[in-house]
Amino acid sequence: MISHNPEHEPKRTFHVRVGHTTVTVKGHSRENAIGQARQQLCQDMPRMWDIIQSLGHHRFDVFEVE
Amino acid sequence: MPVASLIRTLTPDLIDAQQRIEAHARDYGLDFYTTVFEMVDAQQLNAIAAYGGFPTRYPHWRFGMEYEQLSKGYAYGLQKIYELVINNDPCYAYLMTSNSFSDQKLVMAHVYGHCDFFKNNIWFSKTNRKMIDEMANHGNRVRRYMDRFGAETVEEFTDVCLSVEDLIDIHSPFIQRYERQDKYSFRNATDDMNREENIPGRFPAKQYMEPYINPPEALALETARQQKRLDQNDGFPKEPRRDILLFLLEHAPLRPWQVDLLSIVRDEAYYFVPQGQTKIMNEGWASYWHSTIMTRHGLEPNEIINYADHNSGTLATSPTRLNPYKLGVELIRDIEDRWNRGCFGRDYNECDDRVAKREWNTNIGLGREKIFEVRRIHNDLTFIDEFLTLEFCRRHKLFKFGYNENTEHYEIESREFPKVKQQLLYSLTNRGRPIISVRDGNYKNRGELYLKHDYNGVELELNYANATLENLFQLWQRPVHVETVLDNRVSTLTFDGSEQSVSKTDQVWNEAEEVKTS
Repeated sequence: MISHNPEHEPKRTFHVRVGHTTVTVKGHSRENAIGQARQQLCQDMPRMWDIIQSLGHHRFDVFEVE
Repeated sequence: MPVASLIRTLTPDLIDAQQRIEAHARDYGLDFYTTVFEMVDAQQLNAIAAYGGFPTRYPHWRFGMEYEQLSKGYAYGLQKIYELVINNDPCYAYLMTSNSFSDQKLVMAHVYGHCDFFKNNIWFSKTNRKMIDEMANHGNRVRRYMDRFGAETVEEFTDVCLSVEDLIDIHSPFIQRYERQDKYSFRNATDDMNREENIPGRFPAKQYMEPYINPPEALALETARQQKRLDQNDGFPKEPRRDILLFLLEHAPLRPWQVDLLSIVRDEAYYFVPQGQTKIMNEGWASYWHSTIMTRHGLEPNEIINYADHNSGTLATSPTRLNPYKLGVELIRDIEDRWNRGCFGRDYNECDDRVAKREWNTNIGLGREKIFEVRRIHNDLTFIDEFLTLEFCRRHKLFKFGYNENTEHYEIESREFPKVKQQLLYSLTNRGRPIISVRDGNYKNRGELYLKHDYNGVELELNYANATLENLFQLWQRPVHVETVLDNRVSTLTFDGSEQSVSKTDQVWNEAEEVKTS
């Protein structure tokens, strides 16, 4: 059986902007990049953990870097 | 003029700010009694602070002295009280009229943190929530005694009581230390002592089974054991009593008004215990919430610099003093961060890789829940013991300092984590006060009072010890002794009514022995 595992897809680079803050992350897709960005932002700003976690997807602007 | 009559209510914009901040605090899950804010000027605030936060208390020169100290400090720009809040239902908080609008909002947010802590922390659970009324009653009682017996007599006796107000058992509200005597239990005093059913250790049995169920040798052993216990307990009090004030109330030859005054001092001392026990946590919790509420909701752009300036002033650390606000808030943030990232439990603790530990993130997000749990069950001692970690100590560059007699300077003694933590825990155990208990109320069968200091490596300050013995003599009216350790030898300080004496024994204090026997 041939299975499709997204983990093995090559990673792409994204700029993810939320408010005035932008982080650069690597991910397989835009959704994945938002997840990575959340994690990165939580790490950088631990006092904002609850806010970052509760932000809706639409608050993140994702730009793929060529 | 009484302070209470000069208090003003809030301006409309402050009422608006208060309602918004209260709503934010409740949204975050803070739970507090109704909080009443009142506006006072600097002089009034200093007066209320000198009274320990209560507008009406018993008259005593100490409050005037504290007021002088506070108002001089304020006049010379050395200190300023931003806020004052009382653990009561409703909570009362005072705002200073001269504060800027952003400061007032900061204070309100901070106050809601305190009020939540008062209501929910277990160590406050036994405090009187109507203490404002109780303190006013105490004031009335003391004033009545002053009218009847003379202000000087009552004030001198109050001085004596206040000098021993620390000699209480801070955990006693939560523990029944000794068996209460049932006043209707006359069993031991009757002639039935020798009847069969009163033989210790005997089980009820039919006569033909008696030698099997109650073998005589087992009964003899049990009788001997109980007799030994009774012999050991023959002292007065039967067990060491740490609540020395209670012991004095029960047994010292005091007049009724003196008993009442001593009980007032004792009640107030117990009321203030949890505040001393939770200073770091309580201030940390309030600072955490003022910073969260203010930075997310409370500030206008033009207020940020002012807020940051005053906030940093409150949280500033000094090389010679531990700032409870700073330590508390940083520890709470550290706990929140650790529980958000899952940095706890066996896997994390057993991980040897420093980089992996630093970047540990299971994304579990339990931080907020955890800090609410911590504020519910801990006091400073257990809080530091449980959550002050090596990483935290390194990150915040904590150190232990002491006076070097060779260089005549204070200098850093150690940055080692166990020593720093040990020092902190020592200073928090029993709020840094020596642990002293009554061992014998009829010492040498002469009605003298014998106390024992549980020495843990820190000697009693002799000036204080001698003055306290003199005051205890006034209460007990017979010679008073305290056993302690001086220069590593077991010693006894005595005051016999006319002079102080110290008798040192040859017995060397041995920590291991002490642990074994106590």
